[in-house]
Amino acid sequence: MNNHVVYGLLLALTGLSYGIAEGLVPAGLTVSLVMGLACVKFLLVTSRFMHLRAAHRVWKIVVSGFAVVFSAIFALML
Amino acid sequence: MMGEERAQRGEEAEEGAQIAPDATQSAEDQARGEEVAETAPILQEGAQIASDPAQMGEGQAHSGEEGAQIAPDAAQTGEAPTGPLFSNPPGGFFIWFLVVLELGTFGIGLAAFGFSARGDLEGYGAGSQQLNATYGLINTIFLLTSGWLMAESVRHHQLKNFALARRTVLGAAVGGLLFMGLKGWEYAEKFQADQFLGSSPFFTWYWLLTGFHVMHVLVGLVILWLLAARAERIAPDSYEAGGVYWHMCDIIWLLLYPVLYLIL
Repeated sequence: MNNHVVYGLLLALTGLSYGIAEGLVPAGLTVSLVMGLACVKFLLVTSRFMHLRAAHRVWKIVVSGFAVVFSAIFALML
Repeated sequence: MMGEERAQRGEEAEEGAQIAPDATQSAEDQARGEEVAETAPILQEGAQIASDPAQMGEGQAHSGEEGAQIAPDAAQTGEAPTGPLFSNPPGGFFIWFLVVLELGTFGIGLAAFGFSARGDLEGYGAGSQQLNATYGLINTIFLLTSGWLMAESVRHHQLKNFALARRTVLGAAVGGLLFMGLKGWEYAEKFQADQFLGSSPFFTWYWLLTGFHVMHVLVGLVILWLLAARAERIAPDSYEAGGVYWHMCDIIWLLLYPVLYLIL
């Protein structure tokens, strides 16, 4: 997957997040879906643009773990 | 004469005795030299893998796994004091340490915002409704486009195509400037509507979180300008470190945007 494909995916996911927040899905699912998509975009940027996939697994766990835990906390909290 | 000859031989014998340990030492040195000579090609291979990704294909440019496995050997020889955990992240250890620190800082801020919002969902929801989500969407597109151009710039720099690297990093900077322009416009609107620090808990958090992010973007723009101005003279790893910093601004915004604009 080259940078252009990643960029296209990021734009599509951003548009989808906006659509979901504007009422594409029932209100109860909005927070979980939007935070889930934010987490996916975060992981795409870190792994592909920042080349985290080439780093030691400790870095992958710390950075990716942050995004997953952060999104999960918000999805559960609000 | 005989006495002199003996004395001379005696001196030579003493000298020989002094030389003997040195000779033993040099034999050890030679043996070590052979070991070093044996390990040198391996280290060189590792160094090439780690430092010259430009010679590899795009997909392999940052694989670096082999180089990372060789790194501990280098550490044992005393040539490289660092292990793979510290030497491996693309861009270097310190930029990733900074990324983790910044993520932690923003994470704590956003978590505090979340806990505060949980206690007053109506008030925070009303505050969030005052924000223009379309501005947030456009700014996200600006930063994602900028990040994509930055990633392309790092790739071109590793391929030693400095003209394209400079052009794309300038494109990334334009994306950052557009983000700042729209953010400034939004700030001006909020300021005129008396939605400033202290006007409500939501807007206090909004200004603190986005203001802190804007400061990072400003620093990032200076870094992008430096990368563009000195593309040929900057080492690939340092160039990548600049890119990692810029992407850090992206990923922080990717979390700020939904939390502030979309989910409340």
